[in-house]
Amino acid sequence: MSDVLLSVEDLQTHFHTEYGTVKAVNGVSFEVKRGEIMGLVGESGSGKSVTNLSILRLVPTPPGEYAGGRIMFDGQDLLTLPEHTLRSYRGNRIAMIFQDPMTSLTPYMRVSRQITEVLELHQKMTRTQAKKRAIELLEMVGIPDPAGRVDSWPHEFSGGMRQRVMIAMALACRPELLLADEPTTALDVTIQAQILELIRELAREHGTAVIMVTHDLGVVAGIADHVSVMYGGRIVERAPVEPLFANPQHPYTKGLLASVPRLDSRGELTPIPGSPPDLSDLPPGCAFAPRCEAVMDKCAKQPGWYGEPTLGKRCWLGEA
Amino acid sequence: MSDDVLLKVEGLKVHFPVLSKGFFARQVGAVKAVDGLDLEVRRGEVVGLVGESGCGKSTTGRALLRLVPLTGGKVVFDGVDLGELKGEELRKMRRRVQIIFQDPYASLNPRMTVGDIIAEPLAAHGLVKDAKERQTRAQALMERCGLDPSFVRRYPHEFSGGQRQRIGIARALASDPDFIVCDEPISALDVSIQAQILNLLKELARERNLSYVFIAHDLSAVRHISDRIAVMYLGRIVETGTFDQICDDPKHPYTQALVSAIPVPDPVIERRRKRIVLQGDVPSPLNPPTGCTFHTRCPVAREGKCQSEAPTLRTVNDRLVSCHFAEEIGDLTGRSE
Repeated sequence: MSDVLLSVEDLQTHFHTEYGTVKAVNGVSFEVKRGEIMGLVGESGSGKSVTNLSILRLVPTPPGEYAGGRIMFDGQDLLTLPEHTLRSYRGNRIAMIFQDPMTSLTPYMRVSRQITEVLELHQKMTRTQAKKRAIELLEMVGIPDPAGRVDSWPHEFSGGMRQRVMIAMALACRPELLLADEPTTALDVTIQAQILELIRELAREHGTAVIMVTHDLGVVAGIADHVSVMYGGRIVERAPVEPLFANPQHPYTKGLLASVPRLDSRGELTPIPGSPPDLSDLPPGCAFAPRCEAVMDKCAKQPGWYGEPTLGKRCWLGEA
Repeated sequence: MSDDVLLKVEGLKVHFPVLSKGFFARQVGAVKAVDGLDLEVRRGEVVGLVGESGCGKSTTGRALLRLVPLTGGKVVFDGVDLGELKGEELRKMRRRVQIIFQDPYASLNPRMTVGDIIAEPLAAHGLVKDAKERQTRAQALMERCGLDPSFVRRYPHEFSGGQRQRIGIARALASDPDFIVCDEPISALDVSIQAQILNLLKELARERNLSYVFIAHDLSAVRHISDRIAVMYLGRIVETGTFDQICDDPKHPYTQALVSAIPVPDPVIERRRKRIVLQGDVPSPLNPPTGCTFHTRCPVAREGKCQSEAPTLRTVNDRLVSCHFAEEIGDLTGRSE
């Protein structure tokens, strides 16, 4: 068994709309090792969430289409796996936490049933066993009085509590890979701190690999081992977390870091001019070129990848 | 910034009644969204109002413009008690106090052109009678706010989120106000756009000697624009001070937890930092805890006084704190300074 748990190779996920083809994910490659937390950073519309959804083949087709690439999970290509096999992975070996805890739980199902469902299906537990395990899980994610609250309805929980329930569901079968799509964006900062602490503990104790999709650079700095920065459907820079923040290479990463207000400084903010690109009408060259300070003639052509697969960038500046 | 106080809020209360079911509905309780809030804003000063969702910060913002009925307390703007004003007098006062809303998608009328949206305050207050002149004024404001003035006849849906927020800012500026409530103006925007809007608001404040109450849940954004910061919890201010006092040396245990919970985009610092992870959720404002409203989550709450007696804002180390034991608790993250 190799160290690499998930390897995404040149993934292309497109959407066919009446306005043309939207290349939401346009050639994305990365690897995630066991127990590693990878931050997938980008603005809205950069393709980060669609990348995450594609891994579990949750993009509706049509209008979506997996137009190319491979997603190798433990030696198998998830994109070509038959639906029933993939179904035995979903919620079992690969689990997902969605952004909005208010809408991601079924409102007319008790919390206990939502957790036991996955246990009965994948782990072939009996109802009584599953219920016992559900209570353990709720306790693990820090819900007070788990035995008393397991039969509550979702609307009886607050936002932070629902997100904990979502995490308990995701962890029910001890997944090898956890896909977290902005798990704390809808929450207040003091609750965010609680949830991030929980995810960190899980990765450390259970060796769960995590892909953490977020737009918040602060969250990434605190939790991730590796970071991939997405822009216009592509990964534009990839590095371990410390060099990425200390010495960003891609002009977009640099611009992003300079434009984010920080609690620990009050220096002038330097915004990135312009706005993010329209994915149905991407320029043939580098998608960031219209907003880039260091733009050159060459940028009209698509730059290749410079550097190692795990430490490098997609930019003409890298060409020595 | 001068010493003269433009806006003074004393003991502000905004309660929303909760009614029983049926035709003869009786009031059975009240959501105490704002419950005894004191605040001062000087001319040309930017005060950041920070707190978690449900703490009453937006309701406070609306109460400052009297967009919600006040249950108690006073809002004195430039020597005039807004609570006493009626009809024409209130309308006149509203020319001088404006608001920028959080959601740039919902706060612009989709059936009006951008020019008409921005010029509406000019027409409503009868400031410019001539329609053509109003459009010219609108174009000048668009240009100042970083929009192409030739788009004056376009509709809101043709603009991106950041551009729409610029339209909202231009509209707020149209009646040449002294004071603007900015209600989370950047939280709906993309990360790379937020800085553009923050910088614009900062420039405008300096240029026109404007005062803002800048409402946000994100302390780091507020730090960049505010002269002073007020931290809210369950309808009250728990601490006010300069940005350095609040961000670098907070005294109230809630402020300390809030500051420690905000992630900093630097992995080296993140690794060193100690977090105060608060237990549980914000209690319901329908039935707030007795005594100090924070005592149910406070890591250093003590038996007795904290449960029974509500602390008031008092001066501790040159800033205002509402905690019985502010002098004794020290730094909860255990930093030694």
